[in-house]
Amino acid sequence: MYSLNPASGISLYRQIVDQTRLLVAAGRLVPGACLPSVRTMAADLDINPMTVSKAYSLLEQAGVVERRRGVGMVVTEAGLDVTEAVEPDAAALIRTARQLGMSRIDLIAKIDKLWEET
Amino acid sequence: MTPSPFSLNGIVAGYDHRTVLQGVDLELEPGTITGLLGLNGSGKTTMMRVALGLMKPDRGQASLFGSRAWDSPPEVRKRIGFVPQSLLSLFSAFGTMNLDDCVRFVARHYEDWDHDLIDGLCRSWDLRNRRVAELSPGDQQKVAILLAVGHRPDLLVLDEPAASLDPAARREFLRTLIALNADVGQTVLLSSHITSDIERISSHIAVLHGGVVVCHAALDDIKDRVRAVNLTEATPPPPEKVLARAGNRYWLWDWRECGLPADTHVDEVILEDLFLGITSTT
Repeated sequence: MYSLNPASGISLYRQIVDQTRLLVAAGRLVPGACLPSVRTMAADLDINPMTVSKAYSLLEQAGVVERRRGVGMVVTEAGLDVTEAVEPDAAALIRTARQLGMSRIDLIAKIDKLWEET
Repeated sequence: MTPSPFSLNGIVAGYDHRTVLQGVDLELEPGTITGLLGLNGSGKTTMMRVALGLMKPDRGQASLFGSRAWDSPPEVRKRIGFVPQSLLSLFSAFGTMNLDDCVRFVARHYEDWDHDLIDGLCRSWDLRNRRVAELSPGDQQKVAILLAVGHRPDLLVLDEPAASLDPAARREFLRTLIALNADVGQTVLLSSHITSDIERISSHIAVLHGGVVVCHAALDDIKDRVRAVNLTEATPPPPEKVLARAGNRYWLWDWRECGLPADTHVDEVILEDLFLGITSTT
């Protein structure tokens, strides 16, 4: 389900956090579903277990998952908030617009127009 | 506080009249995996040899688990695994033995040799019980790795271990390193020119350049906090924020605090580019 790019400028733990949010928002991980153990996840993705622990802690802090004794990391209802899932992409778009000197009104107008066309 | 498994302090070392290391400081935190980057001839191998007590530095202190590296006692040495870049010396000793005998010979020196781990690796790497000298270079590299990890060392130092492995064997090797690190919490120092391997498994990177370690940082910190920007001479960044510079290309820590012009184009860090940036300055 996960597709990580180690050479990306986005740290691996961030990629796990962002992709987990998207999987939950898209309904591919439903509330009550259990994430793989840190060990399994690290082995499946061939990455450092500390990276997975860090991602899981952040997801827990954000309320997307909760740690249940003897079960592991379980997806919560709060994880369904889609507005959180699109945040990284939206933030990237805002940064680009700012660098190009685009105003907030112009960006929102552009999104409105594309919303109708896409 | 437990002493660092691997610590170098002000190391100056070299050969004959050529000084390779000119004041190397590097201390590894227990349980971390550090990727060591450096151009050819930058002294990565020399640094490893000094750190492991195989070479005496001209100046500075090298210690392993708190004891001096050069004359560390056997109980410290038993906690270390090393895969050297040149396997010649290794195989001049074991070349005529077949693989099983060779493994058994090394295993005898350790009370806690992990036979299951080694049998499993032999199977997944498809290593046949032939004479070591007759194995392909890639298979010999795998043997060197086996011999270095069988006693589940607390510190594992690997000098370009993946250079002659095919992609499948390389992936299997990285998986083994990760599994060992998860099980034993072992500290790893790994040199490689394959930056994507380093980015996959390392918690930290260290860059050796000009005879010193110019950058030693957590990889997540670099990717989260460092950005690459092009700046003109009219808008120089605060010097303490500069991680690397190549011409007018800068890599800056905490770029939001650097007072950059509002329209500055900010790029995320590509480790290979950062490495080339760091090593382009003399």
